[in-house]
Amino acid sequence: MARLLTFAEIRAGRITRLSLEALSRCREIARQRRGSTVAVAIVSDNPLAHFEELARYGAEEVFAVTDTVFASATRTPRSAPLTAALAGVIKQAVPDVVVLPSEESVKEILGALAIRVFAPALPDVSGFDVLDGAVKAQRPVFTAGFMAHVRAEGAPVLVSLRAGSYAACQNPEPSSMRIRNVPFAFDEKVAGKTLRKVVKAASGRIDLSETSVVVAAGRGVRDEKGKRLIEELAALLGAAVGASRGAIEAGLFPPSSLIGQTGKTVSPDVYIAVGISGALQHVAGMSGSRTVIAINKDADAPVFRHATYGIAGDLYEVLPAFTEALKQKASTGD
Amino acid sequence: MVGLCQGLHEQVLYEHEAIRVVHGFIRQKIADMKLIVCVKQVPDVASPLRLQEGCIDTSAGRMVLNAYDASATEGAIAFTERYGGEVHAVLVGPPEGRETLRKVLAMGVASAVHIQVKDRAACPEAVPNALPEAQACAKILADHFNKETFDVIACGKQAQDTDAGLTPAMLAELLGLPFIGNAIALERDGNGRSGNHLLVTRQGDADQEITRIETPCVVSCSNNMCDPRIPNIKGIMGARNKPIDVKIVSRPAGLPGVHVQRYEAMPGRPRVRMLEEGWDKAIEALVPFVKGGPPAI
Repeated sequence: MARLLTFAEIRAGRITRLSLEALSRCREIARQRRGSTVAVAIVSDNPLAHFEELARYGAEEVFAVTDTVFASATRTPRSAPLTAALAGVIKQAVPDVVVLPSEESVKEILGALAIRVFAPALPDVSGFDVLDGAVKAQRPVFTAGFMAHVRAEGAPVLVSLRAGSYAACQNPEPSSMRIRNVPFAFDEKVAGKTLRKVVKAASGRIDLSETSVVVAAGRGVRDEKGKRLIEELAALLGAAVGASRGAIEAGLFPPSSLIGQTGKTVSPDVYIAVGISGALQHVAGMSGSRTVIAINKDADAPVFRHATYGIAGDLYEVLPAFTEALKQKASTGD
Repeated sequence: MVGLCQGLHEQVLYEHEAIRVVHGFIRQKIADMKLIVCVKQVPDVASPLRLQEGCIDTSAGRMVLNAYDASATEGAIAFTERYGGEVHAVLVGPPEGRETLRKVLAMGVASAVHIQVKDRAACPEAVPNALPEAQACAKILADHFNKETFDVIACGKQAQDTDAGLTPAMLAELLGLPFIGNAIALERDGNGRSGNHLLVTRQGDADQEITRIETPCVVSCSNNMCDPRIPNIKGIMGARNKPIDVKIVSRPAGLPGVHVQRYEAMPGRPRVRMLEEGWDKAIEALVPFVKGGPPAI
């Protein structure tokens, strides 16, 4: 029996897919451990808007923190109030395990939260299991060179989960949820921070952790023409566009599209690496992908060691033909 | 003026006088900030590391300055080159960590403190079985900084060995200071050399946030902030005469425990299948994802 608490992060008005993956994994654990409960913490200026979706994903109890400080246009950076809100929920919910989506917003506060609720933290895990009074997890370490099998004891244990580690599954029937409102008061003056400006990523971009397919560009993509070829393939697949550090330094892709050790970690169903050499730091961000298709003109590029299928060829020649062939195949349906 | 200020709380600012008072002494012009970088020595992840009975054998590889800490160091030095001020470094780790402190001193850091844990076997930095004990590290650092004066603590956003990224936020929480994580730019807020705030640009999941933050504060730095400089001969020679204070501390007790049970190789992939023109296998894998199903021909 375990009391599981997850955190539903909201981005661009929607609960992130990674949060739903975390919730789904908790439900799976609850099914295996008789008498377990799955609660969700939600922190927003209008949490009500998300209750229906949480019910579809099987939340049994919702701990809602409502405050205008969490509205999208606010002068207070989110980290300090979010830490306070989650600490408040944990105090009220008294969970055994807290599972958070390993997004940048969570990475920024996980350490502070661990200190505040005096809990051990297992950050950025690719898998976890709940035991009696403990959590067992797997964490890629050494730039995803090794897998560490770790164990933490405490009540609660904090866990942050990598994207794509588990599937997000809806319940056949929406669950009936108990709603608990968690009291919250935050003095903006004590945060010591004021948000001056938010530089928005280009709108209409598909979020990297929200899609089943990612098309990623590397240094081999040299110009606008190459970028267009990437975007055409991505559009056909409804895929998100990612990039390696080299492609971002060339100024062709925004920094938010960075995949790798310092950017995002993605684990899509299919990862298409185009013109990417396969540096350690990049591979660390995509090694969990189920199928990897690599296109590179250097047949000895390290990226092929991490690929399921390899295509040795110049992306400027391969991509147009590849996209066309895919279109053909999909339209004939055979 | 000096007499009047004595006994006042530290870091009182007399902006009109452009004088900063610390512990009752006029230290320097208001302009100059003191930045302290926290650095860690880690095994070079690109060197040959082997698994041996569930542990990582680092003996064949070399130890290096954590790449994220190198960015924090570079960011701090570049900050002082632009606005004035000084950069110092702190490292928690075994005696061998001195080599890494020499490196940051050669980059341009003025002085360093080397915190060693009494029982070496219990050093929270030891690879592999006591990892990732971020809480112990954060506690050791917080005890140290509680006796220090500073404006900014800059850390790398994570270490290349544990890849945990917990210590900076833990340290800020223990010190009760504001914190920003994953910074990609550090600037001084206000007109040039006045004011005691920073403007920190942080890379979030989608957007970049530019935040004004009070000092003293803690910032963790992304390696996308800058490219760390390679120390030149002059820097390397100069580093020999820069002070490294060694402090021996006890391992903090009673902290929540995280234990590494064993390490394993990453689940591998079968050997890549190189595809010829036609790329049938790759196309087949992608067909189910093509948007909108089969379009009308």
